[in-house]
Amino acid sequence: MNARRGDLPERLLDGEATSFERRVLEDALQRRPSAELTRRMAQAIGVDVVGAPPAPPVARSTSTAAPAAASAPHALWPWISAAVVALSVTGVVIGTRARGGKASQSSPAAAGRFEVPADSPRAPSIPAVPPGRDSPSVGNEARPSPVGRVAGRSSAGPSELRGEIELLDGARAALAASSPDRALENVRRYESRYPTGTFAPEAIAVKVEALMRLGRAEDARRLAARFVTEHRGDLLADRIAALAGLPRR
Amino acid sequence: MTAAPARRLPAVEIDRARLERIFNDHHATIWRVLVRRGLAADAAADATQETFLLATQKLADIRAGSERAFLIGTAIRVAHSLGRKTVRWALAEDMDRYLSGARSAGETGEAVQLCDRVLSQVDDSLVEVFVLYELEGLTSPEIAELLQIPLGSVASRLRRAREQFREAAARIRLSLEREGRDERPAR
Repeated sequence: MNARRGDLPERLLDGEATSFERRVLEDALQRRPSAELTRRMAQAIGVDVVGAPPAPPVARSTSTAAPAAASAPHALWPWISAAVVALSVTGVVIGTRARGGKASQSSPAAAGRFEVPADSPRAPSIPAVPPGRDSPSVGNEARPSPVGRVAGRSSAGPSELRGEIELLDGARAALAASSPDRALENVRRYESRYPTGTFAPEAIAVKVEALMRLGRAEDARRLAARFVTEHRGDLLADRIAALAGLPRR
Repeated sequence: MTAAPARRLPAVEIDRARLERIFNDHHATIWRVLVRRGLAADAAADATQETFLLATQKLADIRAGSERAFLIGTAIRVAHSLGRKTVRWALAEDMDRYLSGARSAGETGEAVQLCDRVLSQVDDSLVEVFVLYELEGLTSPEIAELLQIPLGSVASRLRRAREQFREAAARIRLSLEREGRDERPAR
């Protein structure tokens, strides 16, 4: 590495770092995603990992891995039906959820701009991005912006919806398999990746049920009460209240 | 839930060989940048995936040799859009367990510990410049363009980030020594 880069001083690792600082920086540099995460990313993108061993036969715990029969009888199944999934993947059903912002920004134009390679069922749909929107040289896109944040999540293309659904499927399958811990983990991943997700209310329902099964009734009730307060009139509110054992309104 | 039947829609022309090459060359860097922004290993993998999917759409427009800068810029915007502190329904009492679990589940080696402890004590507004310069080796103009800040701001943020980094490293080193846990020889 060159001693100087532009008008900046020499990098610490090239010069004046103490042995402890060097250790910290080298630790950070050695950090890599696990083989499993790498394989998962490559698979989703539709590429091969150079030098990677063949993928294990056991698939990860998402919808494609969970047998439909295992999760179908589950109590929460009706909230996102197979029909929703099928329509979502084609990008035409987004507006059916009465959630502000997100639904209205999904346009029929999104449909038809995605490729689903027949030879790779788990390969991605490519998110449609307006020209220029993702160039790093586009100035203010690199700045945190509430508007940008909403816009960034609201262009829910098929791949994003499919990702949301996969995570929730995994959570429901975990509940069906009596693994509320795993269900909760899936919901957390959902919340982290889709903070304004189309199916956030359904994620709350799963979370409430998982917390109840873990014996964390107080957490479940607090979450459910908050949801019910903020979603009066929503069919799911009754369901969530019932899951948490809240009195009927 | 059964996946929807495969449905062939109009294809986007994709140079798969190039995509595969840049994935293999840069995915770890992108993941690392996202982890440094505070995402857990799993969430960083999801965001890395999204970054490459967005890049796929623009692949033909990315100049050869500028792939990494493009990917880092895209990853930064993806991270912004995720808003690491905007999870509306997270229960605060879940988070410590979540972070520790997610980290240990998704990363290799023992690296969670030291660099996390030190870099977490550098201000959010400064750590990005520090990581891009000190760890990822970007130049000052590259960082300025990616973060859309003046060159002078790159230099001043780096200077302040270094001060905080070095103070934090010194504190943690002392703390480890007191606890008798700093047994690994310095490299």
